[in-house]
Amino acid sequence: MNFDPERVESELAEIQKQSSPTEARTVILNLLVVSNEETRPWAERALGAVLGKRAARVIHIVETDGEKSEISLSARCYLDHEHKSVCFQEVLIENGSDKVGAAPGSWTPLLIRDIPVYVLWLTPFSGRQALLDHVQEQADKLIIDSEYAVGAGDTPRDIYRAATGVMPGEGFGISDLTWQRMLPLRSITAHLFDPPELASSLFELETVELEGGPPMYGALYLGWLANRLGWQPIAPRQETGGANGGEDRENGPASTRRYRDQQGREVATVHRAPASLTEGLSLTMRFFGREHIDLSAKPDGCVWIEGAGEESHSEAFTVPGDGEMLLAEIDAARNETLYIAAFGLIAR
Amino acid sequence: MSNNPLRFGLEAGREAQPLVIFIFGVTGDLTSRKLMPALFSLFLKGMTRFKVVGFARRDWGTDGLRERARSMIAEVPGASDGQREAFIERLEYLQSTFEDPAGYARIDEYAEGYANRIYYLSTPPNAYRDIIEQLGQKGLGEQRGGFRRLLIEKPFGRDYASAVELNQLLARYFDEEQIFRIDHYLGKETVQNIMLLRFGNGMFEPIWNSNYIDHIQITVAEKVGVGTRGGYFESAGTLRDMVQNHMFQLLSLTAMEPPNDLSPDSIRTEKVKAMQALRPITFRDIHEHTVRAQYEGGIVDGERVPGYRDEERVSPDSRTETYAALRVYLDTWRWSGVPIFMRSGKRLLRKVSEISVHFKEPPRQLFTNRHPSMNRNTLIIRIQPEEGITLNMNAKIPGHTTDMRPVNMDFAYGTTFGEATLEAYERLLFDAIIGDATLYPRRDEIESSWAFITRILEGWRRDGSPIPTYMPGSSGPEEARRLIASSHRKWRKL
Repeated sequence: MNFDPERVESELAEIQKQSSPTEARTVILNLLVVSNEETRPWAERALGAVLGKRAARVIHIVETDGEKSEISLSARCYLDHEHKSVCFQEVLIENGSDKVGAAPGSWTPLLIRDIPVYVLWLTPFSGRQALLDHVQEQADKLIIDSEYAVGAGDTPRDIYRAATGVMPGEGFGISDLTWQRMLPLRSITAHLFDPPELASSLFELETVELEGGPPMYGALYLGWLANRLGWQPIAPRQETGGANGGEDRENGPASTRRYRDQQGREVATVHRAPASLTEGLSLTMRFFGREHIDLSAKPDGCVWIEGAGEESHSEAFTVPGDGEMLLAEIDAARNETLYIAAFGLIAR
Repeated sequence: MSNNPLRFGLEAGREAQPLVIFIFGVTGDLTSRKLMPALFSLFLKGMTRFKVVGFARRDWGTDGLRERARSMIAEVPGASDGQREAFIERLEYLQSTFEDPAGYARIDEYAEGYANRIYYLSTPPNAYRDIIEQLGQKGLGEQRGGFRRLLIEKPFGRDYASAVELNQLLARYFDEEQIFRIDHYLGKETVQNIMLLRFGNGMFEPIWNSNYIDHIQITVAEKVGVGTRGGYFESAGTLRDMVQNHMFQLLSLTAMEPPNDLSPDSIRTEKVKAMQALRPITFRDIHEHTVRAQYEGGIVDGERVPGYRDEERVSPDSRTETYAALRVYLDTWRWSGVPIFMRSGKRLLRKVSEISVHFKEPPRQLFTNRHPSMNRNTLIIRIQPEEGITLNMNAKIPGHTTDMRPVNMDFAYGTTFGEATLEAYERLLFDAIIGDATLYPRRDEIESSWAFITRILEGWRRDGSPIPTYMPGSSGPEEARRLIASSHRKWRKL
């Protein structure tokens, strides 16, 4: 099939008509996904979670090793509880080495006008500035996953540049799924210091040690904490391995960052033994002059908290799924200045 | 809490503080069907620092409550066994009758370690007095070092006098800001959407008045009969059961002025002002402005169904209405001369809840070739089924003529947001926990609606004429058709 927009529209309408017993035609958003062979299954899983919940046109550009770019169309409709169809109109563009598929002229005319455009970017930023610029021009919101980008070879500085480069415009948003994945841990940490007797302890933190959790997850979490407590980074010391890492003799590689707190004391954050979130994680907060707090999140969806004033207890701790987060990002109108500020600390 | 810098960027102002929820009547049906699943769902969403204490007469004990609660939350999806058990561990049981002061004397002990409390009255209304007095006399409503909130289920009285009496009893021991009266209708997304539709869009408000609106219809129709609720319904009737609470909520949200802001009191004040502007229907006017009726026996969906007077636990000479229709007016600048027709009934053609706003004709009709079904422009807010909004307007039929016919612009929640909406109790419970009373009727709201309804009830009580009847599966009694026809309008088809 060729990329003729009129033909695409006509075929999409026909396919959707066949898929929807109620001939639903509602579409409330465009979702542009940019992925590659590695992230394509991930993107499809996430889209699967949105399918049937929001009526959308999905344009999925996959970078492939093929020579010629290809386009294919489909529609999927799900019946809701009232037997109404909620449909996805899907345009899959496999971008080959001819680069036709990713060319703006191929996919931009397929965006439906007057409804928002969300972009899920699941490919490295390096070497794709032209595409990123064009996406920025069309998008209302760019959704990235810094954990993936770092794993694929981007540095935090690359991502930060990409994120802040497209950030400030009127009506444009950026969101990082790694940041959203970390929301439950942020929320539980904040809860810990709600009781008046613990509130002042927050400013007596000496070290925060996170064990487990993926690298960017840990870095963003610790960066967030440092940012909220007004800690100022200090130059890395050679003997500790500095901001980019060091070796903990007992626990393996660790990333340590040192700061000065608001009273000028030296404080530190440590992330060691990075691992998948499915393996759980533990957090130890040590204070100047107070018993430490331990928090241990287990894969069963609970977190165990000790030393936080009351008796040791467990709370629900659910890491949101990728599809759930994508859906939340499509619906949310959040201000992510906090994310940019936290990222700024770790991208130095 | 506001000094906690880690709170920045988290859902500001909507965090739940640690609390104990005492559920009076925890052994009742409402707890298993609604409250426990709603609390567990909130727990899974991160509202984790709470404990639930069931307060009831039966000899369940904490183990018994926990055992039963496991099955109450079994249908809640997406939870691990660990999460279910972590929730179950938060449940305790306090065995006591509602009259026994000794039970209340133990409440502080059960709340130890928690500054805040909610008392949830999930009991029959005849237990309210005992519970409220016992809580009050023990000083358990006093907000010392934390909040104390009282959640109370409808009915809030059965007429104006009993509503005032209940409110006075509540006010003796609790401030109004501590009292949360639950009308679960307000927890429905589509009911909340009425305000968003009106005040979140610039195009409606300029024409939302008597200059452009001809009349409004509010319909809550049910297909089912009273079923096993005959005993309750006999003492209630449609006017009390549906109109005074649910339908008046729809009316006030449709007719209210824009609030100054979204604070609970701003919104509720505007709703009360709308209620207070209702022109009273006195006993002399009841035949002109109201209709009541009972359903007959007959055939529905191919099955024979009993008439109301033949239902279980219904008196054979009952005068309780299963259908009510009203024509009301709001004496305000905005609504001057605009009739609002309300109808609700059981055993009708289909289940429908909706508000339809019927606009006036153009000042001069240029196009005379009108399709027989052509209507005035109508905006229909569908509460259920098929929640959504339809704008009915007229369009040219293709061809050489200027013939017109009605067409619909349709927004359906179902084809746009394909997920089940939040359970009303979950939303309402969470709002009470964080102290947001927007979706809870205030005292003056309740009393205003009862003041209006009680006049009609009194008129009907004095009226000895026979109660009209209607066929099951119909659109209602002939008298209702005549009521609206006397204003030269007609009901929307059910």
